[in-house]
Amino acid sequence: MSTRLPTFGNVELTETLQDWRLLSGIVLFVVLALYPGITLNAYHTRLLTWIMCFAIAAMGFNIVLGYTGLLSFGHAAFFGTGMYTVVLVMGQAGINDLVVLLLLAMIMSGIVGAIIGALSVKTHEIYFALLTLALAQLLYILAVRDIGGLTRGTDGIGVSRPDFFGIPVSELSAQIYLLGFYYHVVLVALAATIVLLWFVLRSPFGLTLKMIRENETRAEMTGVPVLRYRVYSMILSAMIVGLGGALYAVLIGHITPEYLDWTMSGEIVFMALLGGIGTFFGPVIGAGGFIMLQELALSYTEYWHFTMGLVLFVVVLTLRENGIWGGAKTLVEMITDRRGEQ
Amino acid sequence: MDGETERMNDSRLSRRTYLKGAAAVAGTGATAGCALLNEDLGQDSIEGIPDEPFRIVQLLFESGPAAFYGEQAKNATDMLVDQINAEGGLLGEREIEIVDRLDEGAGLDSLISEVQAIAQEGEVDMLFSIISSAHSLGVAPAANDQQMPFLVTMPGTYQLFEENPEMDYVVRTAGSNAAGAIGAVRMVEQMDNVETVVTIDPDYAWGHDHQEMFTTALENVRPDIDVVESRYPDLGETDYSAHVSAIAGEEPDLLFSSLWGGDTATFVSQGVDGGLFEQVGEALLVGDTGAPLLRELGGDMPENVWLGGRAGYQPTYRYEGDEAHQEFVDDYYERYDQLPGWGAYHDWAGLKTLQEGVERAVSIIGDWPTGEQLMAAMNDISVEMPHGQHTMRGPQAAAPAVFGRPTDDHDFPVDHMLTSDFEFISATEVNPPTGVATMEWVDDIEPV
Repeated sequence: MSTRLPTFGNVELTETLQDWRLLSGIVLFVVLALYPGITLNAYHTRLLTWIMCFAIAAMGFNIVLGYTGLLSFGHAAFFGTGMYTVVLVMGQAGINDLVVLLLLAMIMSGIVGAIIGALSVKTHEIYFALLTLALAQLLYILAVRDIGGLTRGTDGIGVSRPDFFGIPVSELSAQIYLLGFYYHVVLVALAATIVLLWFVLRSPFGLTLKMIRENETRAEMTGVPVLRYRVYSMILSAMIVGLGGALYAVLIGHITPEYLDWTMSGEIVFMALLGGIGTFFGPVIGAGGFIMLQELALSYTEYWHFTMGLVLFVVVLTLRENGIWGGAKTLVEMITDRRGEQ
Repeated sequence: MDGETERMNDSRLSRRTYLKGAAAVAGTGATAGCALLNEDLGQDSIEGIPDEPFRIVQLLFESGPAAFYGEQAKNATDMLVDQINAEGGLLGEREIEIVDRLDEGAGLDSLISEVQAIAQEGEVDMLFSIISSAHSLGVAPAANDQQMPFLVTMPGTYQLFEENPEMDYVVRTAGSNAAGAIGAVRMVEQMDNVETVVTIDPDYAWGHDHQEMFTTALENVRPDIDVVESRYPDLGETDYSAHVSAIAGEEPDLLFSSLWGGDTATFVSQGVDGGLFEQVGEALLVGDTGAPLLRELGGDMPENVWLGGRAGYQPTYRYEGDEAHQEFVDDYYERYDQLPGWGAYHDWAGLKTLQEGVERAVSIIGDWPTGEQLMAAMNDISVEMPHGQHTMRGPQAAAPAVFGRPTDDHDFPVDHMLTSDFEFISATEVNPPTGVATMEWVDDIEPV
């Protein structure tokens, strides 16, 4: 009996393993895993960790926008829920294990996703965007108002470094914690997210989401419970975005309600758009592009707001839903075709 | 008796209090000096005075509404660094160089990332300034983790050292927001005709902290006064008409506010237009207001207002008798064609503390201090500011509170109001004792 992977149709496992995309992915993973040890560059390692956290969030967001066809402006709620779950569980319940914290953050974000999803999936397009934005802003206001004295208002709360399966890694110096431990945790989380979403989005579940995106009426006529699937996609999306937020909370070390604000939702939307919402890897590239562009613009000009706006405007206007990743793929295809013709 | 002497007599700092404070500073200073010699503050040491400049990166808002504050800080730093360098630099031997400025408008993520890059490159000797309390709460522990000295000059959050008590690489030369809020309470404590109070504060931590400290302490020291309403406009609010009408409707005996920067200007201006200040007995504006606010308001400032807050950072305050203050105000005016505001004074205090700290460390060690030694030398130190001795209790300054009345009657070459008839409340009355958490102290505060 052969092992059949659901997302690859009739392709056998051995053939799958020879796929150049998988091989290059493994090579990239190894290179990234070795990077901090070889370079000992804490700044670059931190930048990469930051990008990877947002890459996870942007990929999670793309489940709703790219695959289900719903533009949510409330994903900061899931990102912030992930962050605040980590800090509140550490502070209030005294749980200090990173893996437990990440799982709890994903569960809490999933619950928030289910609630926001259940309340908003009946609406479409602009109404869906506004409703998700409004619901997310409720959480933002709760955090700003410091309800129950938990969030400490706009000044925010500091996050200490968690341990790992009882190993007291938090006692390491900040530099070694990042270079030797935390970066690799985030890298593994990103790889796991990519693998998980690769399979999920190519499974019957993922194909159903695409079907809803392409033709909702047709999906309904074929017996697909559209609303329920939309809620499922919101939950999955929220859990992944919450994971990104939880990982980022430990990296940034201080949480303020700004991470629940609509501007954070806007940044996540921008990252997905920049990388390309019509592609699987686009959000990862978008997160990297957005953060590196911001860092570069900040380094070279005081008009960094203007520079960012201009670049994003040009990319979105010229490449549209393909974004940088889709544009690059098209460019490679064009070059290959021309060579073939020659 | 001239006006200045009269003001000094009006102030609540008695000679005995001053001498007690000075003795305490000298005592703690001596202890800290011994600590510099005795403790092993890092294995590295620096021989002699380095030839290269002392490199500083300044963090402030260059964009957004808080750039109002950032511009003053940037101006003062540029001017003072030029002056220090004209005399040879720190200790007259090592020049200061502002190698970069980080815009706080970029957000906490970018600031922390930049701090890491700066620490890693090892080309910078100290981080300086910062405006936002939330940013300071994120950046200071990150800088400390990176063993990057950070002289925090402006944020007021009392949580900075209460949440992070073990930061060896961070000092803050600004007084905490307790000085402004409790200073206001001490003012009200002496007022006879106040029975009702309305508070209006910006809707974020600064405003909520001020409101909470003010109302809690007021209840303790004057239980006969009722806070009848508390209002929280958004930060950057442009239309205060609803707030103005609501406050005017209450006709409170006192209006308390920690609105700051452009927000105070907009509120006061719209309040004057709406006849608000004719409906309130007195107003106490504690949000780091100063000359730039009065410049923005022109002649709109009503006279039944007390302006001030943490520290005596107003150009007219003890200007006549203080040569250093005169020089600071005159040079600033000459260079920028306006009078310095709170942001400028905060960074002046920061640079003075740096100079004093370097001098102290070198006099004890004999060589230039390492980052940790320099920060330790700035602990428990005292520098002369317009309000007298500006004292560091450990790594945190304890500022007094100073309030003044707006007036047209001044000799400064500006066509707007300035402040006079000052009230001074000593640092010991508006700050918690060392080791006591601010809110615990506020909860149990007693009448003077």
